[in-house]
Amino acid sequence: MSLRCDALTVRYRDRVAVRPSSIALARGTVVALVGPNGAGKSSLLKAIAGLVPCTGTVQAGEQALSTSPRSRARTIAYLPQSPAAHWPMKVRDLVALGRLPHRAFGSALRPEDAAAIDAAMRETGVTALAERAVDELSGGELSRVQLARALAVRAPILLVDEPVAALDPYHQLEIMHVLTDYAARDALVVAVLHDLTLAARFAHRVIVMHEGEVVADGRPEQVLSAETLRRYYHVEPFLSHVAGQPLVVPWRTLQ
Amino acid sequence: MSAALKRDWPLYAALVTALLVVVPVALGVGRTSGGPAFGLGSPELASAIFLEIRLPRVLLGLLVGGTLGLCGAALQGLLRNPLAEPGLLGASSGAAFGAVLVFYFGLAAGQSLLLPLGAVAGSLTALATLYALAGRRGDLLGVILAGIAINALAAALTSLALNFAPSPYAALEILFWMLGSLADRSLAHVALALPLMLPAWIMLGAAARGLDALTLGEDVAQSLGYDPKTTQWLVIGGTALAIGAAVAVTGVVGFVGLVVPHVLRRAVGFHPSRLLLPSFLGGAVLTVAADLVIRLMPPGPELKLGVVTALLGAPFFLHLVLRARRAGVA
Amino acid sequence: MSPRLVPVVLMLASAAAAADELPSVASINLCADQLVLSIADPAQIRTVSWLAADPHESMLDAEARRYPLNYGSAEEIIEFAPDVVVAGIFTSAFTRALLRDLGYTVVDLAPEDSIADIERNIEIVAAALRRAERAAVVIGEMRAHVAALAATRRPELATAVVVRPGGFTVGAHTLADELMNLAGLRNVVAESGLDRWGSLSMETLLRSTPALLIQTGYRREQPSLANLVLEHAALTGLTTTTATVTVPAKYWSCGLPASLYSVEMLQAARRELP
Repeated sequence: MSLRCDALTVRYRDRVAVRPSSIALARGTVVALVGPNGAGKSSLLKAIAGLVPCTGTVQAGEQALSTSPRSRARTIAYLPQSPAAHWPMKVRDLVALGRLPHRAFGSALRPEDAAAIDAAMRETGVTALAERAVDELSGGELSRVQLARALAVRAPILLVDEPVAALDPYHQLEIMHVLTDYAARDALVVAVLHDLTLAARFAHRVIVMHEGEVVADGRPEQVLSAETLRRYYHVEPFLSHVAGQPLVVPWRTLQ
Repeated sequence: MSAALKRDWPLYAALVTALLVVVPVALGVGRTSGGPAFGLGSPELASAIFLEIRLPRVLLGLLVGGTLGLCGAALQGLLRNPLAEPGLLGASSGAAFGAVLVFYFGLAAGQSLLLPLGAVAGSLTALATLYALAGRRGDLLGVILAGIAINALAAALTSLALNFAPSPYAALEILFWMLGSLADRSLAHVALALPLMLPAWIMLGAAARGLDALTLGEDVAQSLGYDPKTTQWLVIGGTALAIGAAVAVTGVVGFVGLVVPHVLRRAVGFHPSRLLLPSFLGGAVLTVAADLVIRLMPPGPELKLGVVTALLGAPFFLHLVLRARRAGVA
Repeated sequence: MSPRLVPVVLMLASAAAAADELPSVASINLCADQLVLSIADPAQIRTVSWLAADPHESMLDAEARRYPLNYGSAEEIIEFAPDVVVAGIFTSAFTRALLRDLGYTVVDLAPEDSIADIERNIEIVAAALRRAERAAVVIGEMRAHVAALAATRRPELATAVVVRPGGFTVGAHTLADELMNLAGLRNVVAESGLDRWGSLSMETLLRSTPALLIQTGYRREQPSLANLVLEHAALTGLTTTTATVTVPAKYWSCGLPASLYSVEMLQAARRELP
């Protein structure tokens, strides 16, 4: 589903986290939201997800985002930066929580729920962990389980904040492929990423934020240029191509 | 809910069996000067003893114990902490203070129903104060701090009232009442507590799914369609109402709300929603069983129920804290 | 009376004909126990509370031990099937209410704060037990005793202070205060403004330099924090220089004609003073 924000502003008590921002994102794409620390990336994501008070409008698909929590929950799935798992449930049960927006009160899991859960676990490679308690997992395993929970919602818009931060290179690449595959099924994936290399390689679109403002928005090769990185990150990158895909590696800090 | 019943049927079977064992035994055991009395006494008195003495006591034990267990489970789900207890919000101590005020002004003498009404007024006042302190958009930490403040205030006011008690006997009566007891309660007390408990139970049941969603944290819960603030006020409101009603009729009975959900949590796969009803049943069983133990003691003045639950619960609580510290969690 | 119990009562009433139609009584409060023991015909008494049999608590413990003892719960009481139940206003409100629901007549007695209160409670109990003549006798004896004590009272009052375990004392409008006056003593603490009961400030005690210290000696052989207070240095210093008399606590816990014996103890102590 496509997403469109108009003059979306997030104001906390003493400061403006996100200046009025207008963006339009198409479905079937992976959008990387990047920028230095404190740029407002997480706040923007939360504002779209409806988790922080904001002004401006958010439109999902053809209509304004529904005010009904359940309807909104079926449209947008959200995964925060360090997702919590307060009770040591089994992995399968935690992933199953992703089906809450679809389940009527007091009902049992339906076949489509079970299918979504199994698919989400398969996509993130955690099927073997299904019967383990979540407090016995390693950091990386738990990250993948949490992503599985978000995937299980099967929402047309998926917002993820630092989905690969705790993962080893193998799983980092796997998860980026999962996100790409998810988008390929006509969904919109917006991911806050710190890793510019991954952003450049896997995203169809990159949005750079700096001090609460969207300062760049476009294809990775255009946006993640040496100039952008020098200006907003104060780093000198190494730029190249591998098999037609852009390679961006921050190389040296600048004064 | 039928889905949960099907999924956890062994647990429900065990709890219902325990109930079916404990309740008839509790109805059949009384207490006279010579100690425990089995059966219903002489035939002319049997119906009076059964209907007016045993039945209200066991029924109230079920309702109050169930309420305590349910509130404990809901509160632990809300606070995401297995060490949470219903007394935390200040509802128990507010209710106790309300009752003490009634004693202090001598209103309770000869009219025991005014006492529960005073307690309910106290618990609702505590809730209103909590609401005012923590605000409508109160975050969880704010609620906890407000609860601590209200507890401290209620305890201080209760001590003040005791200080000015009209006689040492009045002070003693209050202190003994606060220890918690089911002795000599009547069906009138059941009729007083139930209309308050029923809506409270419904509120807590309505929060079930929200509690599940909170397992993932407040942001994710919101994104799944369950506003954490709604869940919070359902649990707080329901708990204050139910605990107020319970304290009003039995005094302060602690630790049931801590122990029961804790023991049953693993059996329901740690799902907060699946824990609610089993905690109700478990709390009912535990309370009636504890009261039964009291009646089986050798002859002498009756032990207070709150004392028994504290003697069982406090070591358990200590064990939990030690275990949590060893696991590096608390 | 509740319809449930009508057949019960009729049956018991016919069995009780031997007791001369005097109502049978159960007492569930220490002060009520002692009043009942003083006023009722022994055949009327079904049970008294366990505290009445304790020599530390009760002035009539020997008499109390002749009867079955109860621990104050409704289920026990209905086994005794009394016509009347006597209790105190601070006895468990639940028990009293339940007994009333079951159809029993429950008489509530307020604590006795004066000799007049003792007479009042005697009359209340006598009315419930239909022992008016006995009450008249008891009251008459008590008044005679009071008159005798007033006659032997020294007109010059000596100052005195009551020290109870826990550092408590008695103020104005209490039975102990009235009895002290009857003994020829001025209650310094009451004069300094304390009403009813409260804590004794050591400073008040020392400043007032009472001529007589009255201790109530409650369970001195048992270790207790309350008794430790009595060993406060200021107090022990005082006891070496001030006259002391011990009045057992049971005389003042409840108000009874026998409470007047405490006046005799106080008057004896008064006579020793300069």
